[in-house]
Amino acid sequence: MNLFTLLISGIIVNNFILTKFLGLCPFLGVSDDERGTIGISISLTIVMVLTNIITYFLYNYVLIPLNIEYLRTIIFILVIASLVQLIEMVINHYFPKLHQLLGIYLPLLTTNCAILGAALLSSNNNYSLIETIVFSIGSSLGYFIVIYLFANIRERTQHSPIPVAFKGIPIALITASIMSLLFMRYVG
Amino acid sequence: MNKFYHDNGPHIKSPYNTSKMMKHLIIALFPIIIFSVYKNGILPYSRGYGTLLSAFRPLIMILLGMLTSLISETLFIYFVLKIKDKEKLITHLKYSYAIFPGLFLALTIPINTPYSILIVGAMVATIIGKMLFGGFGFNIFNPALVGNLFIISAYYSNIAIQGGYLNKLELDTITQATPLTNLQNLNYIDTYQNIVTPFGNLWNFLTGMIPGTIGETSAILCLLGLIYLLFTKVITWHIPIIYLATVFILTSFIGYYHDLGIWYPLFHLLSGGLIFGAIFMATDPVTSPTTPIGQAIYALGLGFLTVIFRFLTSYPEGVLTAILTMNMFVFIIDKLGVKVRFNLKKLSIPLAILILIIGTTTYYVATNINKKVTDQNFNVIDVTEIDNQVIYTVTHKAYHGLIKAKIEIDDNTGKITTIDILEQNEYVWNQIEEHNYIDKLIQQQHNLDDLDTISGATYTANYLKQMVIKTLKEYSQNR
Amino acid sequence: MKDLVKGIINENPVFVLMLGICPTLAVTTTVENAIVMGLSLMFVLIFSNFLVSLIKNFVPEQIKIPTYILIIATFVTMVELLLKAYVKDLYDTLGIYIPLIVVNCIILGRALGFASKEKVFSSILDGIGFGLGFTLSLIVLSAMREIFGNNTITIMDSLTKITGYQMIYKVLPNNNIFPINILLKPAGALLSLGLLTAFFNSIRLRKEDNQ
Repeated sequence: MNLFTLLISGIIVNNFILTKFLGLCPFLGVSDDERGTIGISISLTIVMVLTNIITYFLYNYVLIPLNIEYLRTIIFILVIASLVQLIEMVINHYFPKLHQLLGIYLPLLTTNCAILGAALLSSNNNYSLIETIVFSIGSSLGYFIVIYLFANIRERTQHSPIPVAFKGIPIALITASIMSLLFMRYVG
Repeated sequence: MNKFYHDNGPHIKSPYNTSKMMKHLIIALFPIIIFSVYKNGILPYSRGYGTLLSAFRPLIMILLGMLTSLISETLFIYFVLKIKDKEKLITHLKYSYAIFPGLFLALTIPINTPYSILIVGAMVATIIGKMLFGGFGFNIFNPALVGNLFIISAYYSNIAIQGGYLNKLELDTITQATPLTNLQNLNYIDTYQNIVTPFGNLWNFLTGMIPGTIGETSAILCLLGLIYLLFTKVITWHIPIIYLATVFILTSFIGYYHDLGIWYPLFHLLSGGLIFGAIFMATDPVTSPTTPIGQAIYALGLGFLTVIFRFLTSYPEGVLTAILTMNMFVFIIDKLGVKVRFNLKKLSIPLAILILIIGTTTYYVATNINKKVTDQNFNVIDVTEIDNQVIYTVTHKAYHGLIKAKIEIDDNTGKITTIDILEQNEYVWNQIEEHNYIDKLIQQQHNLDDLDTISGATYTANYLKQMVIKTLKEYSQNR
Repeated sequence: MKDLVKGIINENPVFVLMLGICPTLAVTTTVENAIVMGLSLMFVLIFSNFLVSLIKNFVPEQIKIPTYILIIATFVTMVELLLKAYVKDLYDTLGIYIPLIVVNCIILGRALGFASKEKVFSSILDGIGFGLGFTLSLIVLSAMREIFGNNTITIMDSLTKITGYQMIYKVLPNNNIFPINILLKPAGALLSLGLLTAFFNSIRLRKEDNQ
């Protein structure tokens, strides 16, 4: 599959938030803070690309040859958990300022559907190494765009007289649904 | 309890003075509504199509939209916001532009939209697009466009079945096939003959005697509305003028690249409800930026997005999608506009990047769109003429990939003389060869629909038949 | 008893706590999918709660999280293999959302927040309660989406091979308005969940007002 198409589809057609619903917990919880969105997106990109590279090698060069693909879920999640720990330690040590920016979002990525989801999708679709990397970057980029736009919109609705039953999550979901409808129209 | 909160501004929006603005808007829309009743209702009726009731369908739809909006908002205020005091209710409605989501929705949908769908759309526009976000002044997206987006996403085929954009008169007088044709012409390059002439000439586009939605076709009446609204200071010139100018410039570039005259950007300007959208929908004060710089950026973005959505996506309603997309950026643009207000230098880098993006994308579009491909399965790659022989190089979708062939037609007789298969990947090609199918295709070229397919190779045989039929059709249409 | 019921209404994971939304939005296109997904999650939740509570006193603090994740992942793999073996097409429809149960906030949340501190029996009840709450919520959401988005209710279609029954009911007549096909798309999922959550919110608020 054409790499450029893969990149673009990660942003639009297969958008993690608006289409595949991966990584929604931080999206709904944190998305009204603009700086937070940049923090999440950077951590997500770093972790996703690195873990996907490792899971690619593990899946294709260890699990498949040994015929134990069914252990995919267990192996992947253990890799992700350990990698997140490792990356956090490295960033804390070498880039303390970055670590401050990323805050608590980094360790939370362990249970983020987006990371495991991306790894599962890459192995399901049998992407090559380059395709896996492009896919991760595209998906993270799409994630960032949506979460950034969303933070701005939510900042604006913060002080609107929204009916009480809709305040908070429901209006966020409805906004997301309009955005999702809109993204469906960007398809060529 | 914190009594003071920091509103991130801008604090310059004002929802007051609305009833005067409402009056001016309705006056500006009045000629457009009358024209629509004439063109879509009375004119077909006078030529013998439809009943007296259907002659007033445009008016009925507009009134229905307005009424649904009004009732939805009233019920919402009454039951959900629990404002039951009659006076408060009326005051609230007076200042909230209640009828406008439905009104603009009715003006931007095809004439043949069933009434029930219009009602659902108006309810969605008012309640989901406006009231749930906090009512007038607090909505993020243009409410009428939210309803419109809902309708075209959910009910596109229901509308197309009823006739789409074409009223009964146009259905009979305009020679192209599909009801949604007018907008399909927007995303490819072709000659004046092919794009404009089926609908008349550019003058028809200006006056509005072309297929389109209920309110959007008449460019000249919209422009009159623009002058009136500018004069009464309801809107400022920045958004409509810059939006239209951007589309004009970008499509001129694309047209120039393909050696088309000035008619091409004019055609783009006058089609697809662009002028109506630029004047009435994009200028909605609630969903557009407040600072002049912000408005300029907003309009620039709108123009750019409209052009690329028209050419790069398979959905022709570029204006609708562009406005809703830019609605999402309004808050960001406002923040930028306030920051930059007194310090234009800060703007230079983001602006340079923006222009770079717009420039490269337009160049990409110009170089990559080509002549219209009506049929996705069939493609004419080349046509050459050598002594009275016209040679078509074509591809057609096949069972496995494409079949590429060279088909020679004798110009004197209009008959196919040879078919050379250049490329094919079919699994059953040996069957085609065993049965001498290619020769049969040439022999029976006048009667291909009756030619049997080969059992065991039905798909491939069928695709070959289609390829020949379509080539013949292409030949007869263009000679 | 309270442990059992709280997960269904007061602390409903989908409409109140807003946990585990990813599969909720993605698989609720038919009622059947919702039932299967809900039951799969309930299975994993009950067993993981049970095991976590069983070994809670033997696990050192530092490796608590990885251990629990390992336990959860094991049960998820079991469910994955069971579904893949007996109902392959359902497994394909649910796609990656079955393995994603492993990172579902509900399961890890209950493990860390409850099972690691409470008795084994209460943990099992807690698992049943939250599992039921999740499943019921998914059924409500998918019913709304399928009825208005497809005019049908599908309770047993892919499972027909096993049970022998096929239960697909056409609920509304086709007309201009219904089916609203975008309800089956991602946008419709977000819209339905938003509307339903607001609806349940308003019920809860009215109850609080009356007290």
